[in-house]
Amino acid sequence: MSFLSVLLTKVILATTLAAFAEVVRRRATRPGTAYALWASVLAVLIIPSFFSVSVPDQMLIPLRAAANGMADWYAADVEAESLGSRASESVEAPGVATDTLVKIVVVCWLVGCLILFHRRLLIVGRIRKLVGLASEAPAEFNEQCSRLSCELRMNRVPRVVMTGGTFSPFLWDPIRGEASIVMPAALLRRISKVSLDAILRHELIHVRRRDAWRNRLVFLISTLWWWFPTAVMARRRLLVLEELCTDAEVIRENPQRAKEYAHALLDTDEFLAAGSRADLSVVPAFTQGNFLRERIVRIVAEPPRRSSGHSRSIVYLVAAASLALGVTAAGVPERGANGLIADVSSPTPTMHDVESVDVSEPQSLSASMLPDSDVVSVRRTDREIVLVWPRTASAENLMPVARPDIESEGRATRSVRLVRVSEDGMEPRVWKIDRSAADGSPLKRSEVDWLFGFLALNNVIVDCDGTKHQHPGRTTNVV
Amino acid sequence: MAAPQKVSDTELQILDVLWDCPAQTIRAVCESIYGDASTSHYATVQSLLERLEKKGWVTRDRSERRHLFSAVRDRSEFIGEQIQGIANAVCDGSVVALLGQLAHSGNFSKKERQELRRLIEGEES
Repeated sequence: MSFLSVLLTKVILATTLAAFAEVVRRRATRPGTAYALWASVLAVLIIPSFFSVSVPDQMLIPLRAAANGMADWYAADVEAESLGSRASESVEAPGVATDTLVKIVVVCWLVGCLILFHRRLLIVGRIRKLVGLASEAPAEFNEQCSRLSCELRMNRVPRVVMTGGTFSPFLWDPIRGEASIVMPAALLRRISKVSLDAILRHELIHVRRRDAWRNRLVFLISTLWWWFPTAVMARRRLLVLEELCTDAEVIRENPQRAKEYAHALLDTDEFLAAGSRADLSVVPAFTQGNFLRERIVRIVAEPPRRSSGHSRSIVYLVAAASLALGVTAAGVPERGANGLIADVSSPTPTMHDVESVDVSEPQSLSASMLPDSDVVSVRRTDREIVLVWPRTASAENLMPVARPDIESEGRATRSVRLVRVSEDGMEPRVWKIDRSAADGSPLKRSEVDWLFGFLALNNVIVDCDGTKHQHPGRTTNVV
Repeated sequence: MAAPQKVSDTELQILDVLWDCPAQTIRAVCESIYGDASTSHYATVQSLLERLEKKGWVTRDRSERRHLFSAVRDRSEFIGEQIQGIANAVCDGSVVALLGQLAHSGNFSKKERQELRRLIEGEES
């Protein structure tokens, strides 16, 4: 699959799964279910697809048009430049154009990633230094934290540190080193012991759930896919759901303290409101009130429930299946046992729809031999692929075929001729990629795969077993 | 609230010395950090202290022949302000993804907060 196809597959799959996850998030009472689904949205973006499923071709048209549009836009410039040398037989520019476009996209992508990583790591380094400088909280708070850690059956006991300022208490759990619960000194003085107990429980549950590691992964993937809105949305949803999951777990551990826990949240909110509202928040300001209200309502209104094994299995199954699946257009045929492409989705073939064209002697072709303007003829041997395009097909359609990596490896014998037919026979210009290698080895499988993949992506169904198929818009016959 | 002036890592090192022992001379700060007070180290510390003074983090007592430097804010206040500064500057949640936090400010009015407290109590009764 080409770079753009892989990208397209990931984008479609992640977006579809995200829509499903959002529906579940709004309806499900257990935040864990929605969390698992949103996590699989991000997982889809980094795990390679193992299987392919077909989706209606119409669904893919807008995205494909966008991807092709970019390539065509760039290729048009190169085409304009090459018009002057139209008599030339060998034209490398179109393939180079597509390849260059992919390179530009990749470079922009990487530069974006590097800038974001650098910026974020600088800030994280800063927080690490500040937390390192913070002073230890009085022994009684650390003892309280140790006691709660034992109650929660935890091996690790984070230290409690305190500092000035007005911010929400947070957990700092570095990769190396001790985890710390950072508390504003003013909040420690202000809240009751019961509220502090609830706050510490909340932070300890974060440690027990290993949320710092989950968040690192989320941060990594969403930064890699920085340009993809669904990834950004997934990150936000996961952070919000993480809080809901932690709330649920706190209540589950100690159901009779739900009221105190809800009050502790409000106490913290009151403390933030009294200060300068510096809030290490992950939710946009206009939804913050709603989110806190939602948390409180969930805490006091819903009894803590552990998700049943059955429903959890279903969620994990959906998530796992999504990870393994890829998406292909319905028009893309599957590969048969002989390595050739067989049509699995087009309607029953009708012979009268297709004109057979003999391209064994391309020089003798004339336009009359290609009555249907949408016919593409392909001839394949071990040594050569000849594509004959009708006169009405645009030159841009041919450009991606002249991709340099078909011709540049130089190991196998290969020849790809792209023949465009004019009214009076062969047009003077023939795009030809011809490289004869000394060893005379056949075309590499990957090259043939790529070429046929390209044809499939352009709605061309190719069948090499002698049958002829029609696909809406275009028909292909292999001689 | 105006964002607090940024402090570089080396400036932070100087402040750390001043927090541990207030009212220090340049030479004393230099020896605490480098272990000696060579001319180049002395000049570095001097310029860093001057920069911190300009930023308002350090004050200089000129009453003595040898000037004494002290941190204006204490360590705890400084850290709090810096964390607040980071929190205010980073609002997209990308960095706080690495932190766990308890509550988000709900921007509630006093009345709304009271209503929520009644809701909590109502569920209990």
